[in-house]
Amino acid sequence: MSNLFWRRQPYGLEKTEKDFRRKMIKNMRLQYKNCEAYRELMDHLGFGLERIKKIKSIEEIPFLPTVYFKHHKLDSVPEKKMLTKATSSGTSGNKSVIGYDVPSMWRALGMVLAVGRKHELWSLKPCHYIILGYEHRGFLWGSRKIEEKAVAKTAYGYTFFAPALSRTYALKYKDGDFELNLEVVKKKLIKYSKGRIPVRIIGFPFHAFWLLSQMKEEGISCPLPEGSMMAFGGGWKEYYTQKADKETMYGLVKDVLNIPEHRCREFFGAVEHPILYCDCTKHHFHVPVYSRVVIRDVDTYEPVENGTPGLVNLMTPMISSAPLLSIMTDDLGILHDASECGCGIDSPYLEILGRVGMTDITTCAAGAEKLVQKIMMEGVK
Amino acid sequence: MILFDGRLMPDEELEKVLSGLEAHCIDTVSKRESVAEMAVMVMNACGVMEERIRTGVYDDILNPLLQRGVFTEAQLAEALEYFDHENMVAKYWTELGVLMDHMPEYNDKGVRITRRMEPLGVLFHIAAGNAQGLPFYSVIEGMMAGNVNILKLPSADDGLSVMLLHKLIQIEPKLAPYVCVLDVPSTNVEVMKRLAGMADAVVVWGGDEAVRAVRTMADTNTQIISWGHKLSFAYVTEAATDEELKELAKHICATRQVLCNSCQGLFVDTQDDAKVLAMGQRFLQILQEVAGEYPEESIGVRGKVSLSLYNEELESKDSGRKVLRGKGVSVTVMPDEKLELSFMFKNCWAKPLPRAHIVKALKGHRGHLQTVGLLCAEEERAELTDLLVKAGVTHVTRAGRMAHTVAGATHDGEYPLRRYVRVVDVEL
Repeated sequence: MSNLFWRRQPYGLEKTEKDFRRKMIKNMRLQYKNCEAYRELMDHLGFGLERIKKIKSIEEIPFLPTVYFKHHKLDSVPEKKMLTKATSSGTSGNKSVIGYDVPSMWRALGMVLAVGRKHELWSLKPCHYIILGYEHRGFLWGSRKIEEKAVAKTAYGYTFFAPALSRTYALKYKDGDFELNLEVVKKKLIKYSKGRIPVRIIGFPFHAFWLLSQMKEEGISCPLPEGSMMAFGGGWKEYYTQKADKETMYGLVKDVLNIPEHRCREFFGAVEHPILYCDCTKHHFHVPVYSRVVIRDVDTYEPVENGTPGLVNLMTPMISSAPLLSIMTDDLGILHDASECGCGIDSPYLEILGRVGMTDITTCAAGAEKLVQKIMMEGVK
Repeated sequence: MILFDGRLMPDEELEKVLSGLEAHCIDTVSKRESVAEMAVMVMNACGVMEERIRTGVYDDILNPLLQRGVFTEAQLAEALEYFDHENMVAKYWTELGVLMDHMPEYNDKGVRITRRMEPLGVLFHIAAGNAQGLPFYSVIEGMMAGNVNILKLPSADDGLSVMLLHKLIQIEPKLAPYVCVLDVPSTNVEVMKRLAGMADAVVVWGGDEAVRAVRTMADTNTQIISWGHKLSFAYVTEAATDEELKELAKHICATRQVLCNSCQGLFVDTQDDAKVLAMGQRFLQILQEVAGEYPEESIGVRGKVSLSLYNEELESKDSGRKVLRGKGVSVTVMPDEKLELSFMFKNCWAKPLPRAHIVKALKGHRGHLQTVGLLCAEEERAELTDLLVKAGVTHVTRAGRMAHTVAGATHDGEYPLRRYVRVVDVEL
């Protein structure tokens, strides 16, 4: 049993520094041995076994950009050993498909237990779940045959923190496609608000925002029973970089559902970095012991000091079935010292500033293209 | 900001404007002036406006935009050339005047038939935001051909186009009913469909994706007129001088490679990979020197480019490509002859393309070809120009002049005004 993943406390990076580095190097050797594509890449970068032996700091480990996973399938165990698969929620064209094996899932379980305990997600009191997202298909860990969006898995996984009496999905699977079903959700909320059983809602922020503003406009208020909870996950990239909107959202949740801000949770994770980040009472994403964040200079890739913006490099030795040990997201972010938060959690926290790219310019055609791509997407819906 | 019937209104009025827009369009179309009258009105108004800008009447509006770097003095000067009265008359004459002059009258066994030019009616412009003032320009062209124009602003619009159109209408109030500018959120499919439904033609500035999506949005009897997304490049022979390469580098830095006529990369007249590499290294040096004189890109842009280059380096294991990095610039040497978009923002490619392959290699891209900066010896120029034109290129220039557009120039090899009119035969 791996200590790092079965600790009671999910935070406090310093105590786990040595163990983390050891596990990272071990994972790198394993990937190098078992994943041919990874081995070739590392050799290409001059990072063979001899070089691996000399690693002093995990920052030296070459990172793979998430975009690389969208074009290449990197597996370190045979297909039959994959317990489940997840895909990124990329809407246009390419997406990453990552398979997880039993040992990886076992470590993930330890992580979920500890994080859930720390953030008071566990409860023995049964509740109703409302998922403002995709309906889960298959059984608990998903089906091997179905490549499912990671967000659907996260949402489904969330419904096990407290015993589920029912699960209502906003996006229902029907005849090979997903159908938006907000009216049903609304009716259920009204019904549950008259009872005494707590309700737990999880979903994309933009779905929640849409639903709640609509309800507010229609003058519907349904104070949910005590112990109810609101959780957000997925889709935060476009949405949660705007602080004002975040506050508006908590206000809406309070107004319409009477769930106080301290009963709101937010999750962050990526298919390529399946670590459960849960926000603290001040809504910051502190780095749990299973993960390390290195912010790198956009030009030189050298690590920068806390407080400086740069490219977000995420590391974890959790996954044995694919070389996910060091990945570079396409976000810009800042790592803040734990002391800046003041919530009491003893780990630095990650602030995502947004996707890298042409925020200040529209390239030839990109303006019109962005618009019509959206039209196409919605048109298809 | 909405501009409707000459009045500026807040975006909240959108629904109100939309509900009356179709009736307004029909009314304007049924009362409209002839093509020639409209063209004269537009040209005169633009002339007055150009004069006012030159004499500093609009400085209070333009100076803040200049200071914010929305556009440069040089770009403004070039734009003013466009709206110079003489140049506009020349444009009108080249594109439509010649046609009008030759509108014949037939006599078919005693029946007289006249032929004349009429506007298409209502144009719905979906403009791109990469070139400042482009939405304004698109509407001007639509009006010159006598059309009623609905303009959907690009998402990154800075208000320049609305401001200019509003000023223009103040100069010539008769133009007011011909312009409607809306700032519709790009996600509003329903409104976009409604607007397309009112139009006789949708004018879309954008890439293949954009055009494809407009096709799904517009009715089958609505014409689609598309401009861009084009790719431009430099064609370089051994005779190219350092001065020429320096001019090219300046062009790359000034346009940041985001325009249709921006150079994306260098095709080198050789089959020898070593020569392509040598050219790549030579150009990298020059590009890096020149880039120092231009502002650094934002952290977001640098991050994006940096990730792309890193990924390219990982891919190079199989792709045979070689990334040459400089400070804030790069040249990726590639073994294939395919025309493609670069990573932009001072990051270009170098590829082999012996002259014997020009037509064959580029023919497949004919829908995307636009400008070529030709860097070669004088005695080669005619031959190479001929080959490039045969391959489908619409504009061949000297090294540093790729983005320099002259007044009255074509759009990608076509006269836009001609696409905004139709020819009508009437028996008398």
